[in-house]
Amino acid sequence: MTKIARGGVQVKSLTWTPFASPEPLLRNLSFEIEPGERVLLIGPSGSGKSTLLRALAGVLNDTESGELIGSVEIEGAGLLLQDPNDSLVSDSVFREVAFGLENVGMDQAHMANIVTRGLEAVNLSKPLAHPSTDLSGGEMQRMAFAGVLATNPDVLLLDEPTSMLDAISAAAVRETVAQQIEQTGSTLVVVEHEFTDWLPLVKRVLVLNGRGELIFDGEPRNILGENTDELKNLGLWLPGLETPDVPKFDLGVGSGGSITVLTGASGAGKTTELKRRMRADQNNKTILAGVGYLPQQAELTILGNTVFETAHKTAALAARGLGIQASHAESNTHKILNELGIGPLVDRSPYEISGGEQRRLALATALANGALSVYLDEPTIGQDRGSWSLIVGAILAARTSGTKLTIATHDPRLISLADEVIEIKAQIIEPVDAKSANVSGIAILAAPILLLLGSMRITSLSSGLFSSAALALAALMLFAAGFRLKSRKTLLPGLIAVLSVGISNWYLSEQQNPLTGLVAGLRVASFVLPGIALATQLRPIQLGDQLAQWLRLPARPVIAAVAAMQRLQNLIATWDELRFIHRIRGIGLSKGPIAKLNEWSRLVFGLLVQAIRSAGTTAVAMDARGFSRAEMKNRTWAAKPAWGRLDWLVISLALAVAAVPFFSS
Amino acid sequence: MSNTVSAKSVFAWRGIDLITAAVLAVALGVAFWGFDAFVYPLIQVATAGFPPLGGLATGVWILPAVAGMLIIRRPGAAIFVELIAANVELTLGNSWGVTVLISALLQAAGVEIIFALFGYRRSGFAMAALAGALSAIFEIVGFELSAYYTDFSPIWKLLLVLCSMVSGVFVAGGLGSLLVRGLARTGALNAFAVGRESRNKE
Repeated sequence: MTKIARGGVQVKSLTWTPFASPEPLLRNLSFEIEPGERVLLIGPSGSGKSTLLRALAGVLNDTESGELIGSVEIEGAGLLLQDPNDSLVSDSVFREVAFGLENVGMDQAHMANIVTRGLEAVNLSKPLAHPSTDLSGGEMQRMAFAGVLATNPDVLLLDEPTSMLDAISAAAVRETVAQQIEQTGSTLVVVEHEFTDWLPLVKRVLVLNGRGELIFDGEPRNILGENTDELKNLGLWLPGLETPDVPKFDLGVGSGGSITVLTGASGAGKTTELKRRMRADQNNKTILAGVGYLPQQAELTILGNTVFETAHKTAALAARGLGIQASHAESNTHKILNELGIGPLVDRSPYEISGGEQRRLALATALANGALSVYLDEPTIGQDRGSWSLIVGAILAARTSGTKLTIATHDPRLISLADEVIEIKAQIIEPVDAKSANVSGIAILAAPILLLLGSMRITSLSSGLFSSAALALAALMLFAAGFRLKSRKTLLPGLIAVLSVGISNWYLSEQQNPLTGLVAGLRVASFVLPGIALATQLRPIQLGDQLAQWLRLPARPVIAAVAAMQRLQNLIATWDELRFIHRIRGIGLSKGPIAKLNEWSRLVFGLLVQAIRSAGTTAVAMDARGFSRAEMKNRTWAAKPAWGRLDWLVISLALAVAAVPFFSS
Repeated sequence: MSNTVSAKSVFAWRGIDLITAAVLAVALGVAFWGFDAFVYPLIQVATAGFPPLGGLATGVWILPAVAGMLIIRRPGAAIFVELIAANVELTLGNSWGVTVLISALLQAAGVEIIFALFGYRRSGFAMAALAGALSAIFEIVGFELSAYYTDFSPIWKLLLVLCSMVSGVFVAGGLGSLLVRGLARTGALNAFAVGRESRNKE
């Protein structure tokens, strides 16, 4: 096998067939890219563009298992993904950018310098300790890019790097990329749906068709100029082409219909404003299924086993409530599904259809209720020309039928159709105070375990009372040292548990002696309550540093655990979003225990599907920065474990309190 | 040149194995936190002061270990998932404090042992049920009886163990394998053996 030059790419008869798919996703691809070349990779949705980039980055097995035939040779690749949220591994800008450096075992002393230079290269002027989530969409994408650049890649692979960004943020990201390849001469392969703005930067274009075959390869001007019709038929957004014709749908005729667009910079709060308006909508409060909603993550609207069930569930409820004939409501839902081009899929599983189809299904769902107001969050994002015109056709037909539509979007073609455009300005968010006195991971875990050992000796009332008194004294000392509970309510479940243990040990014991129950309660309280109080302070990244560097636990599981814990707030947000969607759709509103359990299982299932899919993308983003490389054995860490005055105090107090029962019994 | 992109040894965790296991654990942690808000108060009221029946809830806490092992099928998967889920529980607030980490180890140990005995090749309800039952015994006999329920009379202790085992079999094993099968059907587990198996059956 010939070794290729750094910055070069060589693909030979590459065919990729995921086990789950009957057909190959990529078919017999062969091409070479010279070091320093700038390549644009385009194709319709589902043509395998992103898959090809993952194959180039060597992280294909993070997406799906399958069979790979042929070969890919590449030296020094760096991969940037569409959504920077997927790449987050830590809690500060510094740790995010340094992740790739840690994985190749760079000396800690050099890291700050390199990270600072990386941040300069992407024009992001934030302090190193700045929280990585407290950034706008564009800033976060540039931080992720700095993380890719830190490892000094010779081939930059960019997977739709600007598709989620507003025009200004997108331009800033492109500018950064242009500067970078100008200065370093890196090779560039960029995938983008709306690629017009990338054309000045690239010298070559590769076109995949819907079957995953390479159909064109050459200079952009020639390819795009000579094959306009064929490329247009693939659904590609060619520069200079008119907005696609929108088909006329019939959803009836009524008065009062309108389109209001909420627009503004990425991260300005369009989604928040959309949901605020939806909650305030009188139709939401007065009638069942009074509003329809298409969330940004269309997959969250899936309910039931088939495409039709998902689309019709709320419409069926509403029809029953309004006394409309069931068959009439069903044929209405079928009609909307047909018009949006998913009629042939009605019996399929809603999880099996493509992302673009899921978005149209979610739109059909929102419209099928016959709701008076409909709220759509980025309905056209990532759509080809064909599906774009279907979606816009349905939106216009809904307006004609008398529906009030509110749409959050940054799609200029859609904005031009609006009756009213509202510009959302970014809100200034108060930064969270990270400097409050903090107990770090190991102390949080070790102290209650010491107390648990001590509690084994609490066997008499006197030792129980002495121990409780010592614990109260310790709590006072911690309070004086600056330790605070975030909320007093956190102790409540623990108090109930202690009470339950006390009572049950009393009347389920052989002598049924109340004293036995009291001692048991005091014993359990002595390690449970402090444990709960301390746990409120747990910060995953600190615990991870200590576990890996002091206790020498294997690095990869620790890093994965920290990255997952970092996503806790995101997952809670997804949970809330699912509940919100269900409530809007009139699902799970009954109060009975069985109904609640049912609704809980639906929520869990929806959350898990979403979580596992996002984990796949995160694995891609982490592996692309060396998370699974052999050098991980010599991995270094960008920061030393935190350990402070409060940690010493907590451990000494725990030792002292744990010792009390040994002297008092 | 042809190669199959999938795992080679059960000991070599791929990036996606680690991240999926960890994210699964955090998501289940969130689900349980939702369970506390939605459903658990009803159970708590029903079993307040009568832990033997509360044992019927034991399986709920073993479910992450079972689900994690059914998906990842590598040594340590149950312990890894269960420890992280317990950490999430800690962060969001729970009734037992840091000792949930000890419980987590015990609740995962049974699952680890059963799957190791069969060389990580077998999965499905029977395996999950066995694993759930053994973990329930470990948790109750190995920890709860000595930490919380020291003064129960022998007959109550036995009842508590039995209730927990029933829960281990049906809640952890039964619901756990149903959940994983459902997830596999959505295609979300296509990178894992269990996703492939669910395709082959259809």
